[in-house]
Amino acid sequence: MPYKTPLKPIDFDLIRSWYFNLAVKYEIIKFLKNRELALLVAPYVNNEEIRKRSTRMLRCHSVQHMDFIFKALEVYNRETPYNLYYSIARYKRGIPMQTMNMIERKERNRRWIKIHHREMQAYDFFLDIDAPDFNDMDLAHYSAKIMMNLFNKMNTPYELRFSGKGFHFIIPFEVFPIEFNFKPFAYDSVYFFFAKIAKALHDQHTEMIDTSIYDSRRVCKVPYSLSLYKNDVFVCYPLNTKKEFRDWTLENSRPDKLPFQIRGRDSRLFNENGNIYKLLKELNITWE
Amino acid sequence: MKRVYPLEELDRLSERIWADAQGNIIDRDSFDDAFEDYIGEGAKVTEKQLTLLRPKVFKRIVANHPEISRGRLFRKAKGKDFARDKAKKARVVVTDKKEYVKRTAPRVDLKDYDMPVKRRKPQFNVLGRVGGRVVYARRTFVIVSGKRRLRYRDSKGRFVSVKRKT
Repeated sequence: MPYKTPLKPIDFDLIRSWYFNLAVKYEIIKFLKNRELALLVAPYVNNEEIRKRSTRMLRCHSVQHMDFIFKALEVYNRETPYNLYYSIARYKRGIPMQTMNMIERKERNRRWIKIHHREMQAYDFFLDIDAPDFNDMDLAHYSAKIMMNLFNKMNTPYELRFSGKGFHFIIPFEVFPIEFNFKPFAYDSVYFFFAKIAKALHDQHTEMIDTSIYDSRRVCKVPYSLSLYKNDVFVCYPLNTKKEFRDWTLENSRPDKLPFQIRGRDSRLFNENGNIYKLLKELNITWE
Repeated sequence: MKRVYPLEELDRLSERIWADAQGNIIDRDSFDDAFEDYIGEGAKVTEKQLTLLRPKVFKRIVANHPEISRGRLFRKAKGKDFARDKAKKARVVVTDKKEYVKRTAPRVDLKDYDMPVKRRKPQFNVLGRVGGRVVYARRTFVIVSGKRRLRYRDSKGRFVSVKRKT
């Protein structure tokens, strides 16, 4: 069905009621432990003053933390259209404690960014299938189906999520039995290797895969957060069964149309007893 | 279309260009090519911003890889257009840089340097399906029964099925 842009801009009360929901917050914080949270202003906003409100380097390990951050950034008072992102990297002790002293915060974070790779514990493989337009979502869904079939055939563990304007696949870091280097620019770095895998999947299966995203501070949409567009809003959520994926529609991804209860839903790992070897062999990729 | 970030995200951009190039940056010419390939056509950035960005990104990559030459091997080998040269496959492939310079870039290819690579050209901007894959295609016209018909082809020249948007 062709996508029709809604006529009215998004209602901030909808956003407010979504993030006031305790069940939503409890699901969100499950993904944030020892990772960086980023609140980035939605891309459709052109106003520079509003765009400057994008904030990275947020530490959020509890629902109370989340409430505090939203209050400190005046999310509801200023009605800033934020999208929520979390780091693909997981750190041994999370990111440093943050201060509200902006000068100290800037200096501390600048130092952290230079050495953050030394504190990394894991970096998941993240595959981004991006639709240039909402009218291409059926092709994005088909691309995700191609990937799903491939990963199932190769018995590769993965999580699958709807991201707002595409789909995300996550293969947990622990699936790779390789001693990765987390240092950026290294030939044996995890980012270099993951870019190789993404390019192979792009060349052999679907050109909707974005291969230009592999860096040490990559963030992706937080599951169960809202993805905001100029006149529309969707929930980014994990697809936990094949039936959910098959029956997925853009219409049913709006916050008021979700076909499931959020409480305790979490995110399912498909093929949890699988491994990565078959997939790498299929793609003709070796680790040297 | 690749996203380009503000200058404070320079380190991240440099990392991504490095990972995207998959080790094919050995000098300034190959860096310029990798940079252009990464940024692509239609990126939301001005020519002035690109002119400012290019040397800053190169500096960061070289800081991490001092083995990368700041010189221009392709230009030294009398090459004119790196992207065009890369798209053409020479009959002779050499492995030695000195021989490459001596025999010149238009005549030979240097292994892992100016070998043909797959690139998406800006006119490939319509999504479609072919052979169980999703690909970007471009508009072409064919003559069928004496009449001009619109068809779509992918980068390998195959006809692509594109759904009409109503």
